[in-house]
Amino acid sequence: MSGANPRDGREELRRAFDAMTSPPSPGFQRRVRSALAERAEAPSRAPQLALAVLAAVLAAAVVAVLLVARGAGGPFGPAPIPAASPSASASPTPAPTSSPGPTPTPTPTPELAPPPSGSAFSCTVQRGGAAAQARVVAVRVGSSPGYDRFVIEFDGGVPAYTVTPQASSTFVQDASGQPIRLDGAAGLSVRLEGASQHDGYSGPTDLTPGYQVLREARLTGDFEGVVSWGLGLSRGACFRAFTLDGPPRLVVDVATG
Amino acid sequence: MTSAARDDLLVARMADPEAFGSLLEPLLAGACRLASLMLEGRADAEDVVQEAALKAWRNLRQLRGGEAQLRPWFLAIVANECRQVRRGRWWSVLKLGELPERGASSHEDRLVQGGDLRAALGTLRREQRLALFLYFYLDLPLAEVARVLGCSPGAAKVRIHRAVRELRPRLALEEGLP
Repeated sequence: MSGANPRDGREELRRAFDAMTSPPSPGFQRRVRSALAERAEAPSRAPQLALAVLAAVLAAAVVAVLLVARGAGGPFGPAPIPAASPSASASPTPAPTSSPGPTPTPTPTPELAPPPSGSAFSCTVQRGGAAAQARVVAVRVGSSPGYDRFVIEFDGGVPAYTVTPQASSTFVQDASGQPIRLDGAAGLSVRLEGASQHDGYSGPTDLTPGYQVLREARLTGDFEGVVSWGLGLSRGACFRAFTLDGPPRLVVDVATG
Repeated sequence: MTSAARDDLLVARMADPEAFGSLLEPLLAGACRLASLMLEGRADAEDVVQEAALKAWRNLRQLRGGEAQLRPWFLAIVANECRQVRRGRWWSVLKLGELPERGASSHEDRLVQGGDLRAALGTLRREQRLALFLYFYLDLPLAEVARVLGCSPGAAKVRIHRAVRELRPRLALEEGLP
């Protein structure tokens, strides 16, 4: 290859790699940031936490042994009380650096509120709520045997809602018209009329619980009195949408069975 | 300041996910390119990079050498995640991506016909292709290439040289070598 310019070779190689690889989608950096904010535990805590748990377990074992000994008539008077104190002081405290607000727990939450009787899973558009103005105050996700749950909580009543299934996990950002691709292969679009989420809401706008079916939930619009959320699902699934009181909230359960 | 103190300082500065996120942000585009190269279009590169970011955050204490080492350290985590995906159960049954398989047609044919450098790159071994990508595309210095590959700088240099030698009929790169 005499006479060829090495710079051309390098440039050619760069172009080839450019074509062989893909850049991240536009919202990716934001997605990573919110994943970090929501799912990250504090980095340095793990060993301390493990030690604290170990200390607590050891202390509990000591207490148990002492109690058994005392129950059997052993000569242990006030001994158990000082032995119990390490367990109290060593119990792990929540990491102070984790983000505030309603952080979703990736672990299944067993105590999800039961749905009202008569709300059945279906695979078509579901509507409900009342024509009223309300502000979103919290958004949560949870998982229970048989379904994954998405919850929006309001300060007033639940406004008029429409939940529409779709065959892809790509949504259109309200106002800008930009497509947003969520994790998953199918989706549910949750539309709330007469709602707003920009005043008083400080929680996450992108949740990535990575459950079996509910993979991601993202705010896709908060514009002119309409709030929309997109749910990215690992596959097309039937769902039930219903409201609960105290506090007022809209619940969307996605069937996992 | 000792290096341990510097590492502690770095961890403290990145102690909240926001700060860590902004340090990571300039690295994400390259990381996605890296993952899409290694996954050959058969798995979602963005998912893998996101997972690597969470892993990096959780293991921040293992980062040595301060902020300057963040890039190779993070890219090494991404590369390891990709290798893990490739070892996974579904890798072999998933659809093939666009990269031609090694030996799909005669090496010489492809090189002589000339039009397709990508095909030539496709005939390289994966780790060779990766070394070229890190060095020529991401413009990493040799020490960082080595760290991502998990080998010594000397071994990384050899890998790049051998890969270039295989491509040489297609490419004038001699002077760009480390």
